[in-house]
Amino acid sequence: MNKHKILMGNEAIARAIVEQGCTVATSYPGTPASEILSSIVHFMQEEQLKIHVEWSVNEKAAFEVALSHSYLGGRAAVSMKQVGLNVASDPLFSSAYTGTIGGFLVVSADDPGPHSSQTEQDSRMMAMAAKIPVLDPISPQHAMALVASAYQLSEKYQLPVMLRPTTRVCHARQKVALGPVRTLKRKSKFIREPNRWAATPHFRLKLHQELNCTLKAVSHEKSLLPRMTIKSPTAFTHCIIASGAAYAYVYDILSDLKLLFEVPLVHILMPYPLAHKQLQQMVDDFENILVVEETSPVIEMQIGNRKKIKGRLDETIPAQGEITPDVLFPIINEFLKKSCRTIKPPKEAGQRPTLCAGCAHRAAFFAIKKALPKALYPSDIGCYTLGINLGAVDTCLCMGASINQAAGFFHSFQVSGSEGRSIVATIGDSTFLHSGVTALINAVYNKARFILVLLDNGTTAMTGNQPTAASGKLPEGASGVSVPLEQILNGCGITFIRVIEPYDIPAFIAALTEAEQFTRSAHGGIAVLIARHGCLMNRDKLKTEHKQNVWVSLECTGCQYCIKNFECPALKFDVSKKKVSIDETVCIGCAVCIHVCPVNAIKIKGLT
Amino acid sequence: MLKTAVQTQMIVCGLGGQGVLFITRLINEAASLAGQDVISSETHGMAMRGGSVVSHIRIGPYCSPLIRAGQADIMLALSENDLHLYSYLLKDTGQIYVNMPRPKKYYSVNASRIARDIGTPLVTNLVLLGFAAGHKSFPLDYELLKKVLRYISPDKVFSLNNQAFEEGFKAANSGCRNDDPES
Repeated sequence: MNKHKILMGNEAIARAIVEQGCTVATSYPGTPASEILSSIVHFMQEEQLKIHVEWSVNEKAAFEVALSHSYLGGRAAVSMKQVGLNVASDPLFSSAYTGTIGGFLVVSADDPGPHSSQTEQDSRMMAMAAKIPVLDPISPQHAMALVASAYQLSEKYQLPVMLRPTTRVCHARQKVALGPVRTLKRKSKFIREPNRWAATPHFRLKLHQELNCTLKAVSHEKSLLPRMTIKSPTAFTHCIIASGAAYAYVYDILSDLKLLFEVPLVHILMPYPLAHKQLQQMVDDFENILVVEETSPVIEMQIGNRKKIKGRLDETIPAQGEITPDVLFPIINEFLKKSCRTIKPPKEAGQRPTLCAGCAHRAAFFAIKKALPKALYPSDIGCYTLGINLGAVDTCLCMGASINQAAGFFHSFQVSGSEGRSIVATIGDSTFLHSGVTALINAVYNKARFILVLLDNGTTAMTGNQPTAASGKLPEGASGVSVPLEQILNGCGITFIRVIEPYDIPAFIAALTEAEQFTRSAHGGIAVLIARHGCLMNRDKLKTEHKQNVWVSLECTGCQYCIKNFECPALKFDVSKKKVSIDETVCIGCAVCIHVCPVNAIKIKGLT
Repeated sequence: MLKTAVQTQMIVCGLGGQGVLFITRLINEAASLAGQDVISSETHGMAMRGGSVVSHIRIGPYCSPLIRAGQADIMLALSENDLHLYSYLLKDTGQIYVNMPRPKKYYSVNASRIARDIGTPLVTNLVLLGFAAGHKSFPLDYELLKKVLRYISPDKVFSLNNQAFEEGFKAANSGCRNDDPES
């Protein structure tokens, strides 16, 4: 069977995972990795397979659930974005010591650029720190081949193996060859081995020693050794070493320059554990060597003799940022002592992203700014980070940090005697479930006081509407058990909980005022407002919305207050008429903007 | 069948929600159906919330999905502003197909207006693609694209999609420039 299909990188990875007979797949959504799990669901249904798939509440949970299946002999896969791996790093490091039985694939997708992340960190560094092998695919098709290699490697050496695609692999679409789906029919069984599965520090030392021996053997794996494009390269002086998406760029540039047969190109499939000796021998005779990789100099740093090496470390390649073909083209030309014409992209930025028309987050932020304009606004990771455009987001650190930071700011104000400033933290429902719950317990326990607005749109919106534990929906569409937010808040020791419809600005402002009083009262504490309104990216939800016809009357003074402070994409400023108008192709009729206009010029049709 | 060049590099750009990804998929599938290798790259995540979105499509034996500056043969722009942002990617001889209210330069058409007349601005992308396919110099065949449109469109919206694609094609052949008298 050799069927071809155009698949996105993440779909290709999912397809390969299914083809390799994986029976437990877990994930927490995050760009650029989000589509992997939903595509596993797709192929599972298409091929009528039995796979346990889950959107876990966070990456640590996802990692440990999948790992456990591998302990019992099954093939498992966990996928996440690079910062998700930070959350899963505890089990990652420990599982390198315990090892695995069934093949265990860890997909950690990096985001050089960054396009949609808070850091440019390199998961290959994490693999190296944790001491597990990592494979670096160049394209969707290549990622499929490396998933197969990863499972073989994982089972041969009983180790977790990482696949590290980058955004340009995850979100590329390519015509790929599909393979047959393997069904392994393994029965899960636990074989007691306390010195391994429950190893005390004494046995951990032994496991570490074994791990080091294993890694040495892995580095000699024939199929994953460095490969060179030119068989007898003695006639040449320059050589390039590359891995991942960067390899593809180098290859295409050399092809454009018609230098594929004149510049030997070394491909690193497994940046860790690197076959140092083979690589050193391969490149020893060249006068000049360029290492091209994303994002950290992982391969470069592992090369012992760096005298002839150029790369990120000597800043031949910038130490940060994505290596796009445009960045690389002049670098390669200069390295090869050739001149080239460089074209610079225009400096003007494209349209900045904004919350959707009718998004309830916008209404919530507007109410917060109105009710407590001088407050400090710690926020979190999600669509609502875009509240920064509305001046209602002061900090955004990492998943769940809004609550810990709100507590930290409170204690800092207290200890320095500068109390008085209100704190309003915002966090989405999915992010709250991911890592806000323990933060809230900590804040309650340590007597912090602030307002927490839980922006509950019932979904993980930013990454494509994946279901949450509160929604109780499972990835394959069946219903699971819903874990209601109110009950969690109760359990965390929160006594002030109000559920608010964010579209109702006056009611929201009143609730915020009441919450503020609670945080300052004698027996007060943390006040939580649940701003509940479904995400409109969900089309079914959009259909059920009550649509009102909104128009702008001649009373509009053209002050543009609404555009600056509300930033709804449906509000357009007509420069010639010096008035605001409603773009009906964008407006969803939520009518929140009628509360925004300072002169009440925005009205609902039929009402006076 | 692909009409001309075996190797073609194409840019599709617009704002999040304008359907850049859908026509990227359509072009990919059409190229594949014509027996070509194809690889493309697209924008996801935060940028999709109304921000600028661009797809690179490379038909032929390419290894990476990204087009270098000055290398694209064709650009499909869903709004004029995107044109300024991404035209540095085009070759000097590159062709531009653009949606603009007062068509003048390039191969331009008021696709938004045609889409609105059909009944929804959501099909502006297909009007523009139909318009491009109506030109001899566009490397993908109209009938081939239409065939792909049939199988990648959800049943509910197929007739609307198809109408948009046909109207775009007609606009190219009528020489009608569809000026928008209002703007």
